[in-house]
Amino acid sequence: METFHTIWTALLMILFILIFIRAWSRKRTLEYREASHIPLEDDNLTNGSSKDG
Amino acid sequence: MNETVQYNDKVVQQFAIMTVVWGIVGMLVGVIIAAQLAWPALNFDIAWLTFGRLRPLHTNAVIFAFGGCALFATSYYVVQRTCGVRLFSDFLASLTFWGWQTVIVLAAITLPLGITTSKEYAELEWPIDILITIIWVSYAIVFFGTILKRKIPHIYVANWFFAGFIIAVAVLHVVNSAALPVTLFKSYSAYAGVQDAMVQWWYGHNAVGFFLTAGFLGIMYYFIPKQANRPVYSYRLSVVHFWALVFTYIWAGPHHLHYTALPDWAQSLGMVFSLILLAPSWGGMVNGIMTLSGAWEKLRSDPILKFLVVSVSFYGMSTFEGPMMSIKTVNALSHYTDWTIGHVHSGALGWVGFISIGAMYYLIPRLAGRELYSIRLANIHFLVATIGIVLYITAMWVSGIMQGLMWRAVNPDGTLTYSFIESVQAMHPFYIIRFLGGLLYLAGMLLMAYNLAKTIYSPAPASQARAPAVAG
Repeated sequence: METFHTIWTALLMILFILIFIRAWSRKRTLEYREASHIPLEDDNLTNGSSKDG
Repeated sequence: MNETVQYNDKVVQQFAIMTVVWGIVGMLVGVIIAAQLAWPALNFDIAWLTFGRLRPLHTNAVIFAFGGCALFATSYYVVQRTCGVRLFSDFLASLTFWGWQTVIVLAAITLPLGITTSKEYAELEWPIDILITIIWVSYAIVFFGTILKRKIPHIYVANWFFAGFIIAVAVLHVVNSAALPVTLFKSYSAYAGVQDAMVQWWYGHNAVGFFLTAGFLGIMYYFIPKQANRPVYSYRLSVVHFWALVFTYIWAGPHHLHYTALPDWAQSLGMVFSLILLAPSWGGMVNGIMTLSGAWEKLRSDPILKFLVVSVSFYGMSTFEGPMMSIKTVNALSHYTDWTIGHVHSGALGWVGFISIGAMYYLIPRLAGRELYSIRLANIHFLVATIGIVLYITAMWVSGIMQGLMWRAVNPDGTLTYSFIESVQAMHPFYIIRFLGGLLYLAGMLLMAYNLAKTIYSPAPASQARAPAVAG
């Protein structure tokens, strides 16, 4: 059981590091820039336009 | 997208109004019990007015009634707008409103009657726990159903925080409430001894971590950018903030059980993870505050931003203080003293209270289709409430540290320097200051209720009947 817990904890740690790397990946720059504007643009949605419209 | 979708703002408005109502009720009970600590005769020797009965009523009212209604209101508002669709089910959304209000009323009846499991922040007996589970599952269906039918591909970070809060609270509630009912109003925990204590504080600390932190961070990540009209400072940081918080918070509970029968390694584990938590917490705080970068001048005139940004400052302060208090040697002084009460209230009044108040000042006028009745009153509210918090927490810090030092003081012959009652006497002036601080905070809430009621009942602007919000 202890071995299972050790492996499970290590896997979670690796998963977190991968999430961190993914978040800071250059590939995400545009996606995140657009995402950060979602709250600012939702008023535009109320006027009938949207990003994916 | 050509079709027009009308948002369900009715349920948002209902929850928003009840946030203000339950805030006043919960804080009024808090002021009453603060007065009882200073002047014990105020319980009038009536069992259901005693501190032991009213204290859980206060905590349940402010956390689950005030805080809960704020979270329902804001999450329903945010998820619709950031997904560009109406709520998944109007019926279930309405069920969550009426069901949650029923739970609150049942709590207000049973707790003063002394019907309690005696588990902190989970005092409600098993029939009410089952009702909570049904409502929470309905809430999850509405929230995740709305996410699933979204028209905007990216799930905005605020929704991740709300989602994490909904899932974690469901797990915490079900596991910690596991019990064997013996009568309609009495049950016994499924766990025994130190395991019961561990499960209880795994629940208790994560009620803070997910109910009072993750959910309210969802509010921060939507309403600060919205009110400042600027995108969040670093979206990357917000993503890491979410995952780091989720990965670490769940481990921190044992710090509530330092120097108890809990195995020492578990206590140390809780301490270490509490210290690690400082990093994501401060990352989030910096992200929230720096969102105002380039728009600091708005803080001078905008009371909503004042509430939101000061709340984030209190978040930073509490999340520094918490890890510090989890260090075993510091905890040896702080535990069981008023320092803990001061810490909890800098988080509750400063972080949770202020961010909820800011969100309600934002939401309620918009939902009513009116301008806020008085900016000046909102500014006065901010000032009065801030003075109230400062009085409250500084009184408790001084009282708590003094209390801890008096308890541990020993004479050269090894006898205690002070008797317990001497420490109680020394705390009395600070109990009065705490009462005054709470009274000021409550006065601010009453100002808010007046301001928002005048807003709602003011005549509609001549140029517009309220137009429903639609998503294109």
